[in-house]
Amino acid sequence: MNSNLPLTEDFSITALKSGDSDEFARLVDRYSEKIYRLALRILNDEQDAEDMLQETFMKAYKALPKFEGRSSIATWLYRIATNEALMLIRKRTPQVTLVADDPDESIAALSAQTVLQQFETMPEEKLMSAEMRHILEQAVQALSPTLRAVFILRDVEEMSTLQTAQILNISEVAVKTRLLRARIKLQNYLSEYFTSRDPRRDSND
Amino acid sequence: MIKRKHCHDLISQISEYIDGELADALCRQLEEHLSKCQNCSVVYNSMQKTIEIYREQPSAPSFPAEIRQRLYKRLRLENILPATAERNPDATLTVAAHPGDRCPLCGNAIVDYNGLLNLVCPNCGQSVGGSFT
Repeated sequence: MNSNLPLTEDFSITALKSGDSDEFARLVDRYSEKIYRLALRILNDEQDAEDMLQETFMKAYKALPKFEGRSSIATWLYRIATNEALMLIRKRTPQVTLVADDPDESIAALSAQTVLQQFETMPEEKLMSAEMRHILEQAVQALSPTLRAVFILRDVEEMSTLQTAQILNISEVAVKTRLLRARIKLQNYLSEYFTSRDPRRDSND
Repeated sequence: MIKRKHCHDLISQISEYIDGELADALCRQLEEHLSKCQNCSVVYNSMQKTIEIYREQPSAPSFPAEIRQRLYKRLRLENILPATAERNPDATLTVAAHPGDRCPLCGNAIVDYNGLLNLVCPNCGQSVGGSFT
């Protein structure tokens, strides 16, 4: 699946900025599903994702007169949506969980080996199973919200570094750094998971 | 374990290399290193595989019709959209889908003829036009 944002857009920015509701309805029609999927991936909660979807389009409508066209309309929508999601996470988890990321970004070749072996020896149907999806989802949810957003935009939604930078309003260098940290953390998380489930270590499994 | 400082520094290059964003000269240096360093090559293969697994996972989250309808309802209540903005969910689409197409309404299943030879989506149950006549 490639959900890259389209490069060409056939929306009338003038109509959107002047509050043309038919044109806005086209925008909702085109992007509501993409925004909802993004919301669900970041928030992992259907109710929150639905709230985020509605808030995104309401805020977008209000903010459209101020749209300056520095990015595409799609990138701009994704930016509103991502901000909304990060705000929801902050509300949901007021204080404790927003600790700074562990500065240790080292990846041990040993843990990389575990992940690699597991993925390579697992049959295709197991890799695509609901259980596997659940594990991968858990690993993503274990990332801090800022790393999670970068990983989802870059590696799941397959957006470019530039698009991701524009959506998150950070530099491209920051996108690359956070993406690297997210990837390392995911590998370490998966490695821990696979190691703890290794039948050679746990005969009950 | 990665012991040498040099290898540790290469991790960010490995990540950029996978994304095709590493400068050509650095690519060649890295490729040469990967061919000699077992540890780094494991890290490279593992990172690439991890990304691949995430990208290949089926696009799970669906977009339920009722969530779409509630979104339109809310936007109408806020006077953002006119009362006619939402497609009548029972209406047949003006652009007919063809058997084997992805459902144009929910996008989560392949449409096919039902017992009455109407083209319907097995996921959202909507008729998507074009009966078998």
